Amino acid sequence: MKPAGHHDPELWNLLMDGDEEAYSGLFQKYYPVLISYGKSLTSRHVLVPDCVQEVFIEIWIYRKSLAVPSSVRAYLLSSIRKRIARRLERDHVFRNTRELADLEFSASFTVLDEMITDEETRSQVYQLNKLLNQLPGRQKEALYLRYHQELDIDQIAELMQINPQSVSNLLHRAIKHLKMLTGEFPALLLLLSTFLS
Amino acid sequence: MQLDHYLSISQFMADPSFREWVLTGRDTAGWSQWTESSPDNLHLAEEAKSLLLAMGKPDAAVSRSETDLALAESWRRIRRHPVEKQKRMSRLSPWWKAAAAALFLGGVLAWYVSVVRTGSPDSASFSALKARQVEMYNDTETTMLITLGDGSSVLLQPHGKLSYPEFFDSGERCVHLSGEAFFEISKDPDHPFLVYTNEIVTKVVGTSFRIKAFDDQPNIEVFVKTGQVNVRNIKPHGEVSPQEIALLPNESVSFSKKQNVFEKPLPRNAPGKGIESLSFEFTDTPVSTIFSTIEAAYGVDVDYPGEILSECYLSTSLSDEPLPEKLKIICESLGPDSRYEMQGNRIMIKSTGCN
Repeated sequence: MKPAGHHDPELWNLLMDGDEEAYSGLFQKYYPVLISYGKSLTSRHVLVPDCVQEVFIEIWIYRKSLAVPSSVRAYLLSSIRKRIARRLERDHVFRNTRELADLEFSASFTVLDEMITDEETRSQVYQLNKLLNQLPGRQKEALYLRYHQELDIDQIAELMQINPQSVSNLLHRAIKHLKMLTGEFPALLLLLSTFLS
Repeated sequence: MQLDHYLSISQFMADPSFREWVLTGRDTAGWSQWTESSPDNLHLAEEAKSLLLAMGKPDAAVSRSETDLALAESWRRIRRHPVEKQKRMSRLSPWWKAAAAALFLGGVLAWYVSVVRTGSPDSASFSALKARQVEMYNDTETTMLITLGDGSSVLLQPHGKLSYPEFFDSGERCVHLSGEAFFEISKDPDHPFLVYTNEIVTKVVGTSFRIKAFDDQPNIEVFVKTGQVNVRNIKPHGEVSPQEIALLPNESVSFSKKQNVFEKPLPRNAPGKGIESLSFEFTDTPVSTIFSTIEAAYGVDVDYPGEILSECYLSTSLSDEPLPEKLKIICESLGPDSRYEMQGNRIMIKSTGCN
């Protein structure tokens, strides 16, 4: 896989200078990503497209006062997360709903079945998948951001507004849990040891 | 091969070429060949592979055509955004051109002065990096609604002039007023909002108040509707006085230009007309009534699907919110499919009903 964001800083700089094509390019690249992350954070899916629009529109409107983020992907994911949290909080206040305002990551991981060739691997992978999907939301979110969105520990920490050590702890707990339940996953211990390093 | 040095699953999972091989089958780094050589850490690679397959790929929840539709909507909303609209409007108005020319000349003069006086153009080039100033003059006979970049609303009275940056930098939000205006400031404690007139400066965080500062009148008046407002005078040589006077809701203060002093703040009832005379506290109120109140207060027309919303009642307090915020709160209270659009003095509410 090519480094997913290697053109982003260039596009961002053009956007800051008022280049409409750069805006459109970033929009087309990241709209699907933000929609799918947004929908995994709230059951009120209908809010998500509007929140994504607001995130992008504000980038254009305030482009001259923005800095170039070290990772555009991390910046956008973080923006949509904050935006949805704020929207839910406001709805909570003004609609007097009992709904919990906290974000809860609820997407499920789907097995990449077409890449599996033998039955033994298939049953192991499906078992792992089931366990993964039973993990608490925050642990799943950390795994999702680490391996689906390819953010590093510090970026995940900033996004989830916890310290890097807590991100490592979330991943640690996720892996520990998987290991406890499968019992056949000794090397996972090593996995968490590098997360902690 | 350096792959032999991987000591943990996560090192494999973090390798882009490994992920590509597992998830798409494209093998750019010779992974198949490597596994056939039975390296010591093969079991780690296999477990990493299982975990990656169990996590799958981020789903493509949105099609290309959906994205393109959303992009078109994005540009429509940008064009309608108050900041962009004012920019475009300014481009068209001959008055603005004259003002821009004046500002440009002023800028050149300032630059010249700074070069002459300090021998360095630094201060001038620094100010060139700042946001462009927009100046609005109300030459009509009715109130003019201005929405600022931070979402604050200003109702500028006839013959009033307001200048403000097209967007606010970090730091304080500063505008200049001459004439009369009613302000509703969006709440942002980190960025105080300052209104400068020739003689006084009024500082708030998020609140609503009226200022009357006409050049041809002896007094300036500040009247507070909600929140707390601080006023200070500007001394003749431009320095802001360190002493400030705090005003509470329904208090007003008068500043005498001649004596350069504030009179004692006085409690004052809200004016009998204009936006301050209207209540934005709604209890189980039909939305049609709320929209009529907004029409009366801001001098705007609100279009809404009356039949669809005829059964919708809201209880909400909107006293302290600028107009865009009021509309947003109303739409969000109606339900997830409700939104508003502002085009000049026309507001369109789109809604499929309240839930």
